[in-house]
Amino acid sequence: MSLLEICQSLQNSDYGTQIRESIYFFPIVEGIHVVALGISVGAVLWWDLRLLGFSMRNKPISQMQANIFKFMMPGFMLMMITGALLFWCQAEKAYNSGFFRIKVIALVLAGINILYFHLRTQRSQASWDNDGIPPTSARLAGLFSILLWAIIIAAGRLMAYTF
Amino acid sequence: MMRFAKLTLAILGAFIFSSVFASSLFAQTSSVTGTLLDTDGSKLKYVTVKATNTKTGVDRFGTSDETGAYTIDQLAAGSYKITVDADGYVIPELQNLSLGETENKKLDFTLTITTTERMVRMTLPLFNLAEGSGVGTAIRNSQYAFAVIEVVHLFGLTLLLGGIFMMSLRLFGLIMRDTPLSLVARQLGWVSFSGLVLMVATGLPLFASEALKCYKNDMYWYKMAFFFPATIFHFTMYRKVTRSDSSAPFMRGLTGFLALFLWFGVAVFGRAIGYF
Repeated sequence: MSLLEICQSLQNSDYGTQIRESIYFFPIVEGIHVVALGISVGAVLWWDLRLLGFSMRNKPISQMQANIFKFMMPGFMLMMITGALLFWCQAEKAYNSGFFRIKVIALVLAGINILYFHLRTQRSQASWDNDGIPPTSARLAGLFSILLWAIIIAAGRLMAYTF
Repeated sequence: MMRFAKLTLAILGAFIFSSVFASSLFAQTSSVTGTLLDTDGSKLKYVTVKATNTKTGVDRFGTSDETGAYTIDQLAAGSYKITVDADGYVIPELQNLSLGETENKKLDFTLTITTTERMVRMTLPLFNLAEGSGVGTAIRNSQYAFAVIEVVHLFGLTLLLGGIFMMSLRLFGLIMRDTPLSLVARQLGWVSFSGLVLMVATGLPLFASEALKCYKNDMYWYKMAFFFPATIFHFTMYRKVTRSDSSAPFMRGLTGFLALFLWFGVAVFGRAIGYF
């Protein structure tokens, strides 16, 4: 079964059709998706700004992480759940959308960025934890994160349009 | 042949005459007539007036003409409830209007415009102005403009909601307890403020491109009903409480709750405009 066929059967499944054709369910899920975007990406953004040295310079990065991550994760869970529901009911449309492909690629890159930061850059964190402006490698992680999330948001919104 | 035609005609004539006579015997010939005006004195055209027989529950309707005059005819004798259903007006109801046989009652209504409708009417010229403006027309004529501005609008939302949400968590005492509130507010203030600036700067041209669609869209009005209080709140209570290190925990909690409630309302109804 090809990826397209899987997407088609998802979109044409009973639940997919029900979500797509519902009067309220789809707009409500979409509304939650947007509010959760403000929460999760807002938290990421603050974290990225700290890494860039633009905000909370006098707060150790490890403390910043401990404070923000416990709220970032539920936000992302909410994004994933509502996003999966939205995908379910328009999987074939998403498969054929160039913007959706860009969104998925950017999501994967954002994941790689986080993993690289966590596994490599953060190894030496003890030596720059208190720095107002962290080293370039950490600042780059923050910059990539902001750029990638901007692409994810833009591509996600543009999926609704066919030019 | 001639005789046959005459006979047929006579029978037909007799039949028609008798049926008209019979129906007039059993006809329900009472009626209600009147004029519909609003409190400004203008006539209400094409508005439906309903007479409900209180015993049988049967409805009969009449619609006002261009002079605001309406008639509900062929009513049987009895007691009626009269209602006038006009959008944007307080719906008047008249209970127990009793009608006798072949009685014509005159019943005029003066309808009160609802406050919302009055506000909506006063603002319509503004919507027309926005719709016809150069910005609105340019966006409508461009293939990409609306989508691109919408994306920047969403960037603004992320900054604004992100800043507000993080600040609320600090107000609730859930994060950064060891950092003074006013310091967190300074660090986050410019994030949410730049988000708000982006949202307004992109929101206005988006509005101009579909002002009349917004005018007819309930979700747009709900959004505005949240947006104006949210903005006022943002620059008054929210600003004051977040910048003080001595405010009571209750005030902080209330401020955080109000900020989330108001801005989430703006976001949710803003998204919903596209669906209604």
